[in-house]
Amino acid sequence: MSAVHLETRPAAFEDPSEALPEPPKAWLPVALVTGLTVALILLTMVSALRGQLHITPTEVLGSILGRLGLDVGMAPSSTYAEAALWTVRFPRVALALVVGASLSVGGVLMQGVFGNPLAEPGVIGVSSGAAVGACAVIVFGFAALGPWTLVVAAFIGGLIATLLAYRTARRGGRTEVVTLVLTGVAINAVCGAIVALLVFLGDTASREEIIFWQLGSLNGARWSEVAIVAPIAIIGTVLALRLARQLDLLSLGERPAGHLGVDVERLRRTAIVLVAVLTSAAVAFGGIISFVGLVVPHLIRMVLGPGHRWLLLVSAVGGAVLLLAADLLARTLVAYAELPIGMLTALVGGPFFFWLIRRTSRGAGGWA
Amino acid sequence: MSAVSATGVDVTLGGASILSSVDLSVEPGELVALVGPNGAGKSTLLGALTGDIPVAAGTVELFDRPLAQWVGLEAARVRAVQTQRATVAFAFTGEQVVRMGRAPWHGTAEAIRDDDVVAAAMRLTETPGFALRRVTTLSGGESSRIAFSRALAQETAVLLLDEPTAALDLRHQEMELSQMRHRADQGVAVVVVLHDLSLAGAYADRLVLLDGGRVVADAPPRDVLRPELLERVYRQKVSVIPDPVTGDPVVLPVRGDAQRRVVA
Repeated sequence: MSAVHLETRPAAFEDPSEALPEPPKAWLPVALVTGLTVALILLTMVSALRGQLHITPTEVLGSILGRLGLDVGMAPSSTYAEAALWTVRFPRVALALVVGASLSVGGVLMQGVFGNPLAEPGVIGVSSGAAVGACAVIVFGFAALGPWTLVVAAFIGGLIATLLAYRTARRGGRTEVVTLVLTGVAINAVCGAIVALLVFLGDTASREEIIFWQLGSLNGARWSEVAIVAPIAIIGTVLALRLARQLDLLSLGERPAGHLGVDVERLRRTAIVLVAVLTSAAVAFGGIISFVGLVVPHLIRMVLGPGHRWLLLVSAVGGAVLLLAADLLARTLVAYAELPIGMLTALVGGPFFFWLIRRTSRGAGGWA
Repeated sequence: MSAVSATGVDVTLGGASILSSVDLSVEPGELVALVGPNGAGKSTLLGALTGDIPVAAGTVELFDRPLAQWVGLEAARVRAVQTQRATVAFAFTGEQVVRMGRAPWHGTAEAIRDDDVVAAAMRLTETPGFALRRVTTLSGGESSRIAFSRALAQETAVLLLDEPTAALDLRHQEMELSQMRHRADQGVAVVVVLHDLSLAGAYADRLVLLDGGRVVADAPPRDVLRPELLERVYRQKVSVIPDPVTGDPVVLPVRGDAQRRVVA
């Protein structure tokens, strides 16, 4: 009996030699942001060059420098080229960037607050909720708030859809994949029916405009639209970044997050309003462009891990790049024709979603 | 001064009374184990102490101040909580999860110690090997050890732990309990829900035995781990023998032929 002896209890288990391994890849986020920024600049250049009117790279550069007050004698020879750049191509590039960033940041926030990597504004039905608001404005011709009417109506529709999804799908701080997807199915069905009703009620012109929402397109982008979406995207991203630490803690569950000092109630209120604002702004001027908020954050999470600070920041840039690339494809893939960008993103994002569902339902408990 | 106290606490859930007039007071430096059969109200009592479960009557205080008067962040610097389920929604690494325990100290002078505290908390649970692993790939016991490290890293004057050892192997059960003992010896008030009576008896200063939502005993282990009391509460024949090394009481169910003697 006396051979068995536990040493003094606490010290017995301590082994100070066992240090934590070095965390790898501290440079990775920086490299990724740099790479994405380079891609963004290149895509912007290519987008400015491609189109029915032929414009050379020097003319593009000269035109930009000219607008900045530096006349270097490289400006486009024709006023048509100048006009094509500044009233058609650049506003469209700018809109693609801010819509892409808004959708992507909205996706990250939604995944964070739902505690599920499959939550996405399009899948959940936030986009179609926003489309209902926007379509109502088109059909009934509301204009009480000027150019903001569309955004505000989309916001109200989007917010209602978000709240509904949140109330229905979330239990105890988590969301089961199946519940989440089914909730999205239900909300999309209801919103689809309302949009169909609006199409039925509308005249020919508004019907055509409604088709635009459902397919998604950045065609005919104007600076006035960019002027509305850009501040929302930038302010939304900055506000989202302020929630990053709390969103990290929320992935432990609602109660554990609360035990670490997070005001969970306030966090989710803020996050839900931000999701609705970002999505609505994007939907109001780009129509339903789904899966951007799913694909981009997921790929970035795979590289950088789930920490929300870098995830939000890099997703904003990544979403901008992805949508710019998609828009470039949409308008150049078929000569003299314009493909709907929402169709393109769904064509790529849909199968990706399939793959994600299969993968997460195989994994432990269904969490990526 | 008591670190955590409950006075005349009643809890009802869905019309059913879960706790009735429970009194509990834990001083700084005390390790108190909540024990009792399934459904006795152990986790409910712990939930009432953390504020997660609202009380129908009575008061819960943290350092002699009603729980409602504590702001979230302020409370997080005073008490750490380990809940039963330790699932994490995203694939954070073990080290990132333990570091989340430092969140309440973000922006304070304490934050400069973060790296040291996190590394130390992981060493104490033998989890440095999981530092770079995704917590979603860890087993139940492994993630539970990460959750315990997170609570340790929070460095609070009060630790409230709900069945932290449920998924742990023999060695890590002993390791976590000795760590709680160590913290208590340094002045921390520890309240832990446990099922293993011998484990509770070996480390705790006091056992609080619950049955049907009431406290039936609140005393040092030797006074609670008595066969007649345990048999009445657990409806299971037991023998209590002294540990051959330490002399602490060890509770054993009576097995084999003796099983027929299970109290009906």
